[in-house]
Amino acid sequence: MSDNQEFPRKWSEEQLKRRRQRNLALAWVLGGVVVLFFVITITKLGGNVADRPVYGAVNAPTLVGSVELIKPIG
Amino acid sequence: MSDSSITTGNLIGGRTMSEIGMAAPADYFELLKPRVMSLVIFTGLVGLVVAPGTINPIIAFVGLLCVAVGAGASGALNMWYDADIDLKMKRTANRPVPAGRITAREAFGFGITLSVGSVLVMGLAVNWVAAGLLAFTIFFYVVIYTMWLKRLTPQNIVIGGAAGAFPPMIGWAAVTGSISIESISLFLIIFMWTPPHFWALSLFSRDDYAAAGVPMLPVVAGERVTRNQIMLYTILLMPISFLPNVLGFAGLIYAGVTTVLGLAFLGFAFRVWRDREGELKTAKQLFAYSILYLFLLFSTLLVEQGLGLVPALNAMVRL
Repeated sequence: MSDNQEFPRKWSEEQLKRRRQRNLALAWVLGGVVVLFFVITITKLGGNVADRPVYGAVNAPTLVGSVELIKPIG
Repeated sequence: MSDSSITTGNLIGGRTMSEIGMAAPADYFELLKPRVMSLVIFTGLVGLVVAPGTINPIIAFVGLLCVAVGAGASGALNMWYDADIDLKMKRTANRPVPAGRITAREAFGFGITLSVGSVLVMGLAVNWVAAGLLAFTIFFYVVIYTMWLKRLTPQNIVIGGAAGAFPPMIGWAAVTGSISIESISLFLIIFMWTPPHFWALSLFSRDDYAAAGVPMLPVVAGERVTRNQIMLYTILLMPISFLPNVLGFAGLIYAGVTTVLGLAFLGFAFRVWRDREGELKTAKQLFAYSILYLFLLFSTLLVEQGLGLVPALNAMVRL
């Protein structure tokens, strides 16, 4: 029996309704996964998001060769 | 899986063309065995809370989510492989695969996807020790228990019970990144609890298992041997349930609660042991009580730790 025989030629109203429900559930799950990965990423980055060097700021690091120096304030 | 109509994912269980495509999201949720999953999440949470060290609450949540999804994936793969015997048992005949709402192939794809996903996310977000344990748990439940032991030996649930005992170790590993004697003690409690729990169920589901050809102990060795084994494993469980006290991560409340709960467990098991063949009421009571027992035992660990009533393992480790 081939796979194609599993699918009726014409979907009934009830089958279409169930398919919509499955599609909706899958959309919610995928949306949830996107949010989950975003939250994991932010959590993993943690304080480093706020602590990152901001070039051009008063105490911005100056690159000298491969060594990063912090300018004293004032 | 012996039934070829199931392995090919074609029409089974009286499924007709009109039933194809009728799977609702709830059917997929049922594949995850949500009731089993809830106990797995809970024991995983306890492992996570009592472990020494700290973990970001969001990462802890992700860890538990991975444990839940991994357990659900195991359930889906179990239903995929066991669809032929599920069809023969009253208790399981209405599961999505034997009832024909979901094809075996769909259940397999669903289970594999969730298994790989849960292990990868656990590894990337939490740590690879916890991910490795989760992968091993899924492998153990699906391959060692479902595919190999379940149809081979009446000791199936004794060895296979290890799969259900791993979640607290995974929770512990999520925090510490390691396996320790303390987390193994939590494993041992569930491991020794499983035989009386499942054999009580198999006593009153004996006809179902016999019809399906599953060599559960009451089917192969008879009720008397099963009742003896239930009593034996219950007695063995008693000293093991105090291991958290011996190892210093449980306090007096846990010791007291475990004593009372353990005596009650012994009482229920004794009544099962004393009963004559065919008397199944006490087996049903033991089965129900065993779930309550495990839940209360682990709840006590959780509450004690939450209220700070036990010497923190952190301090002990620092010493």
